[in-house]
Amino acid sequence: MNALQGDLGWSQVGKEPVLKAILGRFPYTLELALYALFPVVGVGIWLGVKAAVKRDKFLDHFIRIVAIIGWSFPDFVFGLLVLMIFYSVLGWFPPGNLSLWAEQIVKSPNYLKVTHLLTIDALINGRFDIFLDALRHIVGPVITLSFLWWAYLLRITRSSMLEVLSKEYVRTARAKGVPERDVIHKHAKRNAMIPVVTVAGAMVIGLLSGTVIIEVIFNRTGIGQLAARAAVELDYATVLGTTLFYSIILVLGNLIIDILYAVFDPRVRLS
Amino acid sequence: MMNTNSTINRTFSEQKKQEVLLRIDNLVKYFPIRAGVFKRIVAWVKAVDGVSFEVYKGETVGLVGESGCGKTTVGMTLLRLYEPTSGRIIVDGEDTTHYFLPKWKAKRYVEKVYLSRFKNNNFQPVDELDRKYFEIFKNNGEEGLLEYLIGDLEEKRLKFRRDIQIVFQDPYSSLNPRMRVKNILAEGPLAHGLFRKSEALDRVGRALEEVGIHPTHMYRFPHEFSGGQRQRIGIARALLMNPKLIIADEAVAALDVSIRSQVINLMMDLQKEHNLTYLFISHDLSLIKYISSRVVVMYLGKVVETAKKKDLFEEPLHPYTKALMSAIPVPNPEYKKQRIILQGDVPSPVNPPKGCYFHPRCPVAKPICSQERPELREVKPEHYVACHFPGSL
Amino acid sequence: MSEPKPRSEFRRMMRKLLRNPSAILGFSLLAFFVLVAIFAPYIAEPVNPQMLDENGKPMRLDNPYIMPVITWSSEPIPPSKEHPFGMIQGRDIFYGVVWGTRTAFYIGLTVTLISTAVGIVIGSISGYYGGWIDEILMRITDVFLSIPFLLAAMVLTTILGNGLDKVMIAMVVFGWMGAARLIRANILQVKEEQFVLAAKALGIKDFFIILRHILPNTIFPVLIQASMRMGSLVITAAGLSFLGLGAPLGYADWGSMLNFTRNWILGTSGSSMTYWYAVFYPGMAMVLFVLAWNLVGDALRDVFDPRLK
Ligand SMILES: Nc1ncnc2c1ncn2[C@@H]1O[C@H](COP(=O)(O)OP(=O)(O)OP(=O)(O)O)[C@@H](O)[C@H]1O
Ligand code: SF4
Ligand SMILES: [Mg+2]
Repeated sequence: MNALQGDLGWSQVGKEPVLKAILGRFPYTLELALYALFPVVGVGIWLGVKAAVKRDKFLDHFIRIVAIIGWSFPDFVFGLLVLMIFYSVLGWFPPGNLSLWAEQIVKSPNYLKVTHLLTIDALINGRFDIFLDALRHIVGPVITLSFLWWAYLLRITRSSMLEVLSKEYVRTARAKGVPERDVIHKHAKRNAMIPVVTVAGAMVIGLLSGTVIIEVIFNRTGIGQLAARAAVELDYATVLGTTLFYSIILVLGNLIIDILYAVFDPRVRLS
Repeated sequence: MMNTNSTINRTFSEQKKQEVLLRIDNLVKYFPIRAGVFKRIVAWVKAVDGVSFEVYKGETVGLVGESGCGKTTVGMTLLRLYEPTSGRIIVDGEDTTHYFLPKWKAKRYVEKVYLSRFKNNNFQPVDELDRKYFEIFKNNGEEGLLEYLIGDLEEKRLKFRRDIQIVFQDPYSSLNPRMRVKNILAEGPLAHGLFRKSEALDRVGRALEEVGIHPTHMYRFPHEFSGGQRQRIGIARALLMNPKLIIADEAVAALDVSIRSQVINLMMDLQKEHNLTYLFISHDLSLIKYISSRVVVMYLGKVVETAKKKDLFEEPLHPYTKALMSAIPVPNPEYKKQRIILQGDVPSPVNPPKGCYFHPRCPVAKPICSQERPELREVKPEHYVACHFPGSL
Repeated sequence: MSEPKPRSEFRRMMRKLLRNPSAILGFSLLAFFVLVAIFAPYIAEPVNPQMLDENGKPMRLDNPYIMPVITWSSEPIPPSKEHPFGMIQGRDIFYGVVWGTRTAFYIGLTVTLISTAVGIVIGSISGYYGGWIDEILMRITDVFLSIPFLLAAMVLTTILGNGLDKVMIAMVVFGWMGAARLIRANILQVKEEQFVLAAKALGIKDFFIILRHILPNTIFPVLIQASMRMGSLVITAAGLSFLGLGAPLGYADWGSMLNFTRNWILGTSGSSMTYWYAVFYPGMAMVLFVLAWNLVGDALRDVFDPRLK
């Protein structure tokens, strides 16, 4: 099969070979997913631990309700709201990758492209104005993407934390008079992170493939948008190519997670 | 794979007066241990490793041994809840080993175990079964024997399921928590057409009465009963199939001591009324002594001694049996008994010791014990022992 | 003897469920949507006010799910007395939101039921028989799981062609794995239970063992999982419509209504919230619908199976 040799065919939508179209657009998608990862992990885990520690208290209920509402927001509804408020009303975060002027500079031949990530490359080139422009364009999508995923992480963290808190060794630590703060941070939290790490793979994939609709809404030229346009225009080669690409990333990601998991969790190593 | 020679060496008694209901011939059951990414088989748990014994009609055989010696596995394998690794299970004079195999495997089994030998010119029958099947082979040819053994397998399976029933150990998990007792009891007989749906209530009610539960309780769910009552329901479930043999795997081990004897006595009464045969599995020698007529002692997947109860308890010949018995509390303090403490743990059934499996713990082991495996021999009339030095402890 | 426990157990669970405020909110929202779906023809009459029949009355629509075009101006028109949610692409948003409820139920329930049923069959076979059957089925499941759901659905819709039914097929084809895995794991646990072994020893046929003994003891978590999946399924279906792959133009579907809106928002820059109603009403309908299912699923899970994540 040609696909095995890296030949995925001709992309009608991209007007270039599918593989080239994908690789050329992937950095935009990756940049978006990476920026979304930080708020997701930070907020998700922080609130998950908080909710578990205050189990069945007001704070727990409140956090969970907000999380469920967040989880219930379709990405395109939330994205449209963000676009409407921050672009139509406030004019802060415009759609697209870059402003027109910045785009011209980036496309010029003497602009260094090291990582192909817009913000990083801008810093490498010492163009702080381009960096800010790229940032301005990415904030909307990042808000949208991360809002959908912190709820997921929160849920996992909370239930994992609750499970650990009910374990024998945590109770022993408490009985021995270890301060509650240390019980939570030294004993429980570390162990509660194990299941969280296992879903990290699923989450990165979710973030990556979650970009499809968000890139369409915010008009960013990543592979998500490529796939969506190709699907509407019945461009099989491109749709199959992008899906294959995503699947490979997913499988590789899960493999890496499995390996990390085996390295970090002594129970897995023993059995 | 199939060893067709019965491993019981008979010297004293060639023929039996009693009718054999069940004969287990060199039964082997290994469980694979898998490991690694590809789930390769890295070793085998030799849970049952060449077990042979017989059960006569109407008697109670006690199968006894320490935890993990393979008693449950024997029961499950002979019921074909596990497929045996090798060996034969003979019920009522018919080989049933291949009953639960797919047809092509069953055929392969018959060819391997019987036909290949029968086709040999100087074939000598080694047991009753050989004689019977060879007769059919001579008269009706290969096709005839195949038809006799693997024709109507489904019918044979059903008959087997009616003839042998089991009462489980755990009264809490042995009844489906989401079914009413009525349906739990009627399910089997209805599936076999033993009675019609319209008769079900009546029959179930009578069976419940027989095990000492009020028939009106048939509409209840299992968790509304006590452990002893549930065990009675389990017995009624087996009873309703009109079985010939009931396997009771630690049937009272999970019950309170006070309730135990009630259930045991119930089982003994039912045995008389229904002409039942029991294979009673237990690790409790005093219980075995109370209920059984013959005893089979197992150690690490093998039978080490089998005898009539009286013979066994009066004169245990295998050092292991003797050690087990010395651990039974005796009611009479006059009778001073020396307690034999066994050294060490039971070895793992994955890597059993060479020679006699018992030699690392045997107080009277001699050099030959670690070299040569003792076969089960008839040392006294109907008293079989697998030991180089029977009765030396 | 005490009173039969399953009923009292059930009552205890119900009481617990009714004490949970988010469960009550979830069930009330759901009830509201059910009512809207049932009475859709009375809430938003399926007539075309542009076309009159011989009696001078507006003509009834052949297919009430195709929103009638009321004015030929495609620009969004703000809410008014006749059109309380405003208009977009010449169509009444209120009408679309009301009839879209039916579309949402139709898609969600159909896809959830079929994909869960498929998952149960595959998972049951896999778990009950084990061995190489299990191995093969689970590898297939892994392959299906290794394709991101939205993209997989996109691939299938490009192959099958666009349309709501195609989207639903795609979602069934790529939506059964969760149920299959869950039921398999549960069966592996239950099948070693002694009552299952007892049923085998009684000579009960495999099919009935699975049906009577195994499934009743394993199905609840799967049903809870299914109710929790309803929400995300409806989101995905709407997302595909939003991308232009699902419901056809003008279909009473929340996702495709938002698709109209997006072009108008992108078209205007830095002005104001001119078209807020075109996002707000269909968007809120979706959010509340999904929220209802998530709350219900969450509450059921808490009450019936605290172990389920
Ligand atoms: N399904 C199985 N897979 C792997 N190993 C098994 C399995 N069932 C039993 N074994 C192993 O086989 C050996 C015999 O087990 P078995 O349950 O037959 O012992 P037992 O004599 O009934 O013990 P107990 O008195 O504890 O019930 C044990 O070492 C056990 O670990
Ligand atoms: S054969 Fe030897 S080791 Fe084994 S029981 Fe007899 S005396 Fe002991
Ligand atoms: Mg046992």
